[in-house]
Amino acid sequence: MKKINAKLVVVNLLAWTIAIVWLMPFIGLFMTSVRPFRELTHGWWNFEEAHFTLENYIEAFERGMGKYLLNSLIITVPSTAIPIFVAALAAYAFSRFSFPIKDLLFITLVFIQIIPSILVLIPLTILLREMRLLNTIIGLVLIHSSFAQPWIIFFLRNFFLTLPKEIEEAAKIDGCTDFQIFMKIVLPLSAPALGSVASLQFLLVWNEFLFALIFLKSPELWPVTIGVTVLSQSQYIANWGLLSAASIIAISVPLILFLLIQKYYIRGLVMGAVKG
Amino acid sequence: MRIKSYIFFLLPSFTLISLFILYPIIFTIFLSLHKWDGLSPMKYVGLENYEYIFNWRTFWLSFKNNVVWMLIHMPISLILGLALAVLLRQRIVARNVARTIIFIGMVIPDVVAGIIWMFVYDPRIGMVNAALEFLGFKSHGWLTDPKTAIYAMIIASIWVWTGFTMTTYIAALEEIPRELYEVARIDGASSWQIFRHITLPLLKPATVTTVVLTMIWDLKIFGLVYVLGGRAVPEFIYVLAYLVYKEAFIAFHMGRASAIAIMLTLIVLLSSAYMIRRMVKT
Repeated sequence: MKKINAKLVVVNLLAWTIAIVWLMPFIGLFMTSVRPFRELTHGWWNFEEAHFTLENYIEAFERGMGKYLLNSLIITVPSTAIPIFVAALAAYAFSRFSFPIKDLLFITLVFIQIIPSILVLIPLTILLREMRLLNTIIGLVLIHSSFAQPWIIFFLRNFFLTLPKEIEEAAKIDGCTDFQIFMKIVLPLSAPALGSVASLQFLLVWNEFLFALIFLKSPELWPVTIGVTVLSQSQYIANWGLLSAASIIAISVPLILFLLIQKYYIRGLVMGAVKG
Repeated sequence: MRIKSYIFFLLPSFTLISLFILYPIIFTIFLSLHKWDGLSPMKYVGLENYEYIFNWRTFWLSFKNNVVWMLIHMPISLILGLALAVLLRQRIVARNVARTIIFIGMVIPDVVAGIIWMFVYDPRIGMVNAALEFLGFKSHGWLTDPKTAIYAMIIASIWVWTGFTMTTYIAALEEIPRELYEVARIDGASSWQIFRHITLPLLKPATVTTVVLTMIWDLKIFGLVYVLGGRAVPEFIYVLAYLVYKEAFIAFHMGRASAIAIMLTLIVLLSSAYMIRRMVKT
């Protein structure tokens, strides 16, 4: 019994030492954001003189972080809802119907899931410009919706395959159309899977950088990822407090969301990766 | 009736895909055979762009950086991820909090991860240099020295990605039936023997997927380089994705950028050939 306890103590110490070291860069960011600038020149870990301040946050909001947060939300919500609905329709077709070019379409999805998005940035810029959607949030939402198709289709197809077909068959006999069955039976039954997909997709879009960088040129449309990056490269580079506060603001939403729905998120990630 | 149904279900998705992914892919191939600055008329040049990049130092340097990144980052992230998975499956106080901490890098935008590590490496207020000075070494500009920059960024990328490898390993470990371990223990196998002869072989499928996903991630690296490179990203930390971006949207060499993007895509597809085969089979 004693031996087991000793081992447990060592394992606990080891695990928590690693976890704390791992958290250090993040603590550094946080401490930098809540302390006055003059105290930071000796390092955030120096507490000889320690004051708490929200000045940096106030300045970050004054420099547009509030607007960027709102933009991120306006971009992310439709970029989560639209592709999930569209992909769910396609996933249902893949799981329930057989049709001539099914294999070809499936292989196409596999390939476009893997190709780097940077491959199509130039043509997309031209295309969006022609559609008058360059530098608009609608344009960006359409791009996000398209690129999310493969993974959400795979994920939901695998899930739909596990649903019992009997209910759908009974509904069919009762005269329901395929679309009604999909809307009224399949989607409600898929709530947990849709939750996983939604949380993953929300974080993917919120954290996305490259598309927003290329397709949104006006600062009033920027999401937080572009906002902090531009700040990090601006002439105020020496203002660590401001930059760290802006970063904390940018990650607050994904971080809180993750803590709330961790289970869904992890399940989505693992199913996507392990089964994918 | 039924025939119409599936078309209706597939149409929205494949309209989006055709318009915003497939057509642009074909267009990129077309562009790679042309010289174009984005404004004046395109000029057909055959394979000239490919010829150019194959003889271009910067292209090979970026490619080399991607390869170095992959060769260092992949094994470390995998081994560290597995070690942490094994460790954080023990009876640890507040185990879920510890797991969440390791996972933070996956939850935040990689540009913010870049900013976090910019702080860590800063010559004046960064932790790394402070620790070195405390130990009696000289402070160093890790990100500005061509010799160390890429390695400094790789360390940052390990911090970002290991949460993913750990999580997939935890899931894979949980799927191994307990009975296997109990039987082995009754037969007198040591902990190491059990790990070596039962756990590791059963983790092979998860490992293969994780290796491929890690390779793809390493090849697509962009945000970290963009941020850690500062206002003007120095050439010695170029990676292929960044080179495409720079050629296309800063230098306006659309044809050349397209050719590089196609080479990058071929490398990605080649690296993931195994996974593609497996996915196509299902």
